Amino acid sequence: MTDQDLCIENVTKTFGGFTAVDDLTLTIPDGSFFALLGASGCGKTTTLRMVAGLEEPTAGRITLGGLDITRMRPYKRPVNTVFQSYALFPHMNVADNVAFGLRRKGENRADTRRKVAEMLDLVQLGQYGTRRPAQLSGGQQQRVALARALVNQPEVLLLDEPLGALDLKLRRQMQIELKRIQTEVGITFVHVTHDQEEAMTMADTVAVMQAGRIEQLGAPAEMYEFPASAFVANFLGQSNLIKAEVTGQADGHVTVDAHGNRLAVPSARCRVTSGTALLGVRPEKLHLADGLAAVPSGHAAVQGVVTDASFTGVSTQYLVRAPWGSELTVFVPNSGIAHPALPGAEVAVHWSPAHSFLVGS
Amino acid sequence: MHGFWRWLAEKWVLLLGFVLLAYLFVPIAVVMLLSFNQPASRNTTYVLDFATFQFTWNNWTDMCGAAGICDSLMRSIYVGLSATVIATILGTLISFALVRYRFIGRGSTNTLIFLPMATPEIVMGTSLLTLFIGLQIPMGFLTILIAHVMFCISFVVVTVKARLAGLDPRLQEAAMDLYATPWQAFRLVILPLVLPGIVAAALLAFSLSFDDFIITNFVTGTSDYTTFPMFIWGSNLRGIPPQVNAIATAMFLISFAFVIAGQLRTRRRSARRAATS
Repeated sequence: MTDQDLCIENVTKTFGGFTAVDDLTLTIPDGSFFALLGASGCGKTTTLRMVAGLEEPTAGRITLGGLDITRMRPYKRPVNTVFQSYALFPHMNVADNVAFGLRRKGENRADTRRKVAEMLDLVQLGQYGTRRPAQLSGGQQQRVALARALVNQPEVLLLDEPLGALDLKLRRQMQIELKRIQTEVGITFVHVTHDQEEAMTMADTVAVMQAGRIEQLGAPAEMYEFPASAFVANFLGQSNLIKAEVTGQADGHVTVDAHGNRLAVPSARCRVTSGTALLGVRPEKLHLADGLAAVPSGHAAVQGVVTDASFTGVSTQYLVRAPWGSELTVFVPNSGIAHPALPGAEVAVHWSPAHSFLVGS
Repeated sequence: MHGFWRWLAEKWVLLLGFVLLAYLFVPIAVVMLLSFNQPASRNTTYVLDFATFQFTWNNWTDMCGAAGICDSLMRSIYVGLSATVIATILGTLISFALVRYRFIGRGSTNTLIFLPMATPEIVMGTSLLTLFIGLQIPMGFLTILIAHVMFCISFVVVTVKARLAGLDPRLQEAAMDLYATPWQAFRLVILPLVLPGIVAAALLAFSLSFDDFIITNFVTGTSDYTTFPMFIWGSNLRGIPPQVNAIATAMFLISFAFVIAGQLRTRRRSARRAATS
């Protein structure tokens, strides 16, 4: 733990009878790109607003570099925010918007002018200083909001769904841009989003939130490959979850019975080791074979019937009805190797046990 | 003949428009014309007869010529400005409270604030008179001011509230996030954005106060604090001095200048916006 870490300790926030954030404890390391991911109403924005000082925690403590900022006024915190609606000052031009924070801090004129110019160059808006926000496109406004916050060199930059209002293509572009800027300035970014792809693309660490609590926290790839719960498995990408009864443990594997199929999952990839569980496999980890005979040795397999095939360009997404009635989603990459399966075809769906995981139901 | 009917069929909406505009502007034009007329006697100030029309600048050069006319004008301006300042400040504060804060009684305040606007002036005038007599407040400047502030506040609240409601509440938070104290956030961000609404409210309040006759008539009582509308009404019984027409025209031109200035400002701003985007 370095000195400038942001620590949220046992923080609870209630609005009337509603608990928005429930006993949250979180450490955000200095200089990291941290994403709070969750559906709307999960408490992620409230958490961000408490760090910004725009809401006061009902209980708990927030410290920044060891300094208790729990009840510190927002204008005294070394923290800046990029708002979802940008909240640019419409009566000021772009340069005055960016200079606002520096002027409040009493920075001298020459320094202010230099820093504003540098910051506008960083976000590639060097020519737009004299424009009003209303004269800019959504993407440009977004970058002004970013510049206005970053120019103050905060300890922590908070981003509240900053890309939510942009169209898909621009959003992808800005994701890369934001990541580049974060690497360049080295400031801690706390990014709130409901877009799992956005969180995974940009963040070093992702915290999945639900109902005011953190479901799982970790590096994106780690969480994607081995989710902690059924919620995370479904929220972070897609998962096939098959109901299974744990029958025993042997040779570093947990054996389960899934609708009559005996399957094994490596013990290291099991969150539960007894009772009823869910066996999960990502759709792109599933493969199709013409029959059980064609399944490579060591792979787990179930039989099924193709009910739907949709071609998306990079892959074909199959729905395969398993004997117990539920459907499995299978992504077959369009790599030119596999021949297409037609709806109605009898197939075997198989996967490497190392790619499956077991979570509580 | 056929051509005429066809022309009429195509242009009748336009014609009707001109007739309506004339309907609106003829009374003003008459007052303007009369401001350049030298009436034969005080009883013919409002007689527009081109046979006896006698052009003169006297009404304009000697505006204060009639006894008491400019005293009453100054009183109206004084009452108007005082009422405007007080009503605008109070009304703006009420608007902020209603838009920004959630408190018990907010809903009913929102509704009740319309009450003075909806109450007939004659009713408000009598009730204020009863109140002032009951409280034994001597009639005069103070009672007139209290009454004017009271009926102006609602209009200020409605005008400023509309402007405030359209303001993103995040702007205040953004300013505070950027190290502005609550007062700085108000002065540098909120006030400049709400100012057009406050100015509009102040202009409205002044014109309402300046113009008011019914309520003022009640709350002046027997005092000699005669406002301009009261003066005109009083002299109407004895014969109106022709300077009234010049003053009325001047008032009209001043308010017209305000409207034009406002229009030009918006037009210039949108032109600038169009040019740079």
